[in-house]
Amino acid sequence: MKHIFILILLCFLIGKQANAQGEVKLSDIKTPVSPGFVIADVTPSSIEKPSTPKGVVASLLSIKNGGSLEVSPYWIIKSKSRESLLYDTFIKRKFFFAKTLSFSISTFKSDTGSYLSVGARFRPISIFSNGQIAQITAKQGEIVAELSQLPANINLQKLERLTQELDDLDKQPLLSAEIAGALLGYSTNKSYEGLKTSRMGFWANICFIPPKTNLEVILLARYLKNRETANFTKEANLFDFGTSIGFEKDKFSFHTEFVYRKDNFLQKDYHRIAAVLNYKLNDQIYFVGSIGKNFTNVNNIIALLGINFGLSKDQLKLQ
Amino acid sequence: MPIELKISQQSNQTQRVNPENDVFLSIAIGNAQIGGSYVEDSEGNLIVKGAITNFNLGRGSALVGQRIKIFTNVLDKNPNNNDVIVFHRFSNIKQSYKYEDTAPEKGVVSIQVEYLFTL
Repeated sequence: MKHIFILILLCFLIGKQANAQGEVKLSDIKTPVSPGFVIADVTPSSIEKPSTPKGVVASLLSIKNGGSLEVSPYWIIKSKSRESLLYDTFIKRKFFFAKTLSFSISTFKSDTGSYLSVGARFRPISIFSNGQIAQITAKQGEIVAELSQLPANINLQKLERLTQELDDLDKQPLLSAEIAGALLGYSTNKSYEGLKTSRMGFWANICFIPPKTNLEVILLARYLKNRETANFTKEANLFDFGTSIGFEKDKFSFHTEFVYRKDNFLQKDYHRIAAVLNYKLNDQIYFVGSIGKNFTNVNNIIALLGINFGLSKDQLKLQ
Repeated sequence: MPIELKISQQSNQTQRVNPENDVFLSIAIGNAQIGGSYVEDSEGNLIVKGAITNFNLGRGSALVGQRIKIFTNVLDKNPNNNDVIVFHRFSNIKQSYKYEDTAPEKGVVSIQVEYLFTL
């Protein structure tokens, strides 16, 4: 009853705030999935799109079960490099390290114990096509022209529209890649003393978004090493290779994914196939549903339906 | 609902010039934000506006005793933080001024500075 009350209150507060703001795309409110959640297989989707770096992001797995905090040091520490970083230099740059490097810590619970994971990721490649760069530069020029006036003469409604149009352009590089890694600890007695490393892994995602389409294609390569942990993992050396094809339009996004898994320890192979649908309810809440077959041969039906609170639009920003 | 506009408190600076050389002005916006500037003389006449790089304000000798006012308006385009960092650079007697503020979330902050040119 208490949780239902909190949920209703949260929906009411968020709904009120959302009504006072402009239209937000579904991709803008979905918080980037923390590597700590990815390694634990607690996300609806097994293949995640490379994410835009953010200063500080908090995301909830659910109100009851846990969450994560992700920090990108470059964007919260003052530096000469950041002071002199021009927008167009940032957009035209193709290779990154510090500017996209982030660290995360995640905690969550299950029926049998508690989990703590630490992770890191960075996006080494983000490439816009020449046509996209030209469009971004032109839109940036329109914004600069609107800002180059006495403050009283700036048309704020026009500026808001131009900003949204630029957001649509500069968040969808033609090609991007992300490299991530995480370490997962598991405890049956909810204490740090009892925490044991149960899984570690690293992975790379490459995302291709054909210009002027709503499609995206993602390729995944991942290595996971499990240690024997009571009630959670069995010894394993897993290599995953997968692909995901997605489509996003207005309030909906839909993608299907296929992952082939080779267990080098047990000399077995598995596969996972799933379809994930997201629907934006308002600017900060979206429904997510996932259906398909998971890796294991038993208890392998994926059927998830839930609500996600996208905190990224109003992400924590350090002043 | 339109985006928010914040007016920063005006600063006043004195910029020395070499009377025998031209004075060039450049304005840079850091922290991957987007901005534009409007420069006017003491009577409110427009001198230059836009993205300003090496704009020739005139001979140093002609500028001595004159004032210009620069409005640099910066949009919070950076999703990571609201920091706004603006550099006004004069090339005649090289001097760079750095102004820092924070913009409203996805809004605009207007940084206003008046410069008096002296020998």
